[in-house]
Amino acid sequence: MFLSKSFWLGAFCALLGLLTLSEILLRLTVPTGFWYRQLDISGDMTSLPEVRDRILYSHPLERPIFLLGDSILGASALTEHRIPQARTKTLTRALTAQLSSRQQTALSLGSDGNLLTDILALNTEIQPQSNDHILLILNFRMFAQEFAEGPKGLSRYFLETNLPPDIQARLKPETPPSEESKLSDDLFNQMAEHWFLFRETQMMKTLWYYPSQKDFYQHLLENTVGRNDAQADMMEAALKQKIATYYQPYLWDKTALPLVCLHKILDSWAAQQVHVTVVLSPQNQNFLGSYLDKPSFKKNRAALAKLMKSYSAKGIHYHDWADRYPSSLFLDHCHLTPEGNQRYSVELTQLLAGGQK
Amino acid sequence: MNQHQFVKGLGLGAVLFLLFLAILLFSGDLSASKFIYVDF
Repeated sequence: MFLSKSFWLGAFCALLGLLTLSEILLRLTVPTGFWYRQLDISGDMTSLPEVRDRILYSHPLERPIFLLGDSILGASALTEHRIPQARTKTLTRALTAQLSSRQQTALSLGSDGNLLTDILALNTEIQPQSNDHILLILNFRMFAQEFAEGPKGLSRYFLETNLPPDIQARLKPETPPSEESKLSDDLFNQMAEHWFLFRETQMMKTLWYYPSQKDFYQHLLENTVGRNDAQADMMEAALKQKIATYYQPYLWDKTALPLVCLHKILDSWAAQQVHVTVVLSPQNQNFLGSYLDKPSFKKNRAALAKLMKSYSAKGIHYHDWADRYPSSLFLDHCHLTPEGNQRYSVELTQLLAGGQK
Repeated sequence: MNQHQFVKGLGLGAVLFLLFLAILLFSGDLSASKFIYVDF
């Protein structure tokens, strides 16, 4: 009896009706900024249309201060270190609160793994205007040799279409992606572009699958069977191995993707007369120990300062804060503790207000 | 009888919608190259 025509017609009508209703609701509510006020999705990006929504609608009445950077702005390291309520203790959250007390709003476009190539692509979406304020937080890892050329030079490939052709050409992998991989990417992009329910659910997924889906399941497992104490030591050792290449003997190449992209970004801001503050984020030299090649560290910082000096007359102000904080304020090589983030946010706010150097 | 069946069908449609929503919210990433490289 359940196979009658009326039964299936009812099921079809309900499914189609609910899908249509959810689509209409999202199309009406996303442009009001409702979802961005309710959910803290900073620290990740899922698609180009979602990034556009965030820039256009998160602060519909005014242009916010744009915060650009990588995981330093987000909650991934805090989450990995099992800090309770990690999302409320990020640099983004602390900065937003500090700026809010000065009647200013901020929008973070910082995400895990962001590189200067990603930031160049994001800058296309921001379309900076002459009265805009931008805070760019540079991290040492952004200039690493492994991101100098090739497919690792961009962290999120949905941003690729926003890049100039010469940069796109340098990101091509040696072996082209498979047809299946291209098809799934095209399908994802098309669905994110035209289907709001898909776009928003992908965005919301980052609230629990954060920093990654694997971490989510690991947390679930830890909550069930308890945490292995030896795991923390193993994770630290693995992290040191991973980041060792960022601090190895290597002088940043002017023709490599990071510095070429940084030039393009700065040139665009200089041309638009945007108010820009660039900070080289604090680094924890004690954590790095023998992995840090001190001569390269010193020379690269000096080279970056020299490059940035040429933009100081164009409203782009640079501050090297790599040595600013003691080791006790760090979780690892570059991410700060909640207290560290709080102090960093106060000092960055003073810097943005023109008070502190 | 037909109306009764239609209402039962509506219930199934609602369940299918919730199932579909759960798949969208909890499935793995569809995009093969969305995150080529993520580190922190």
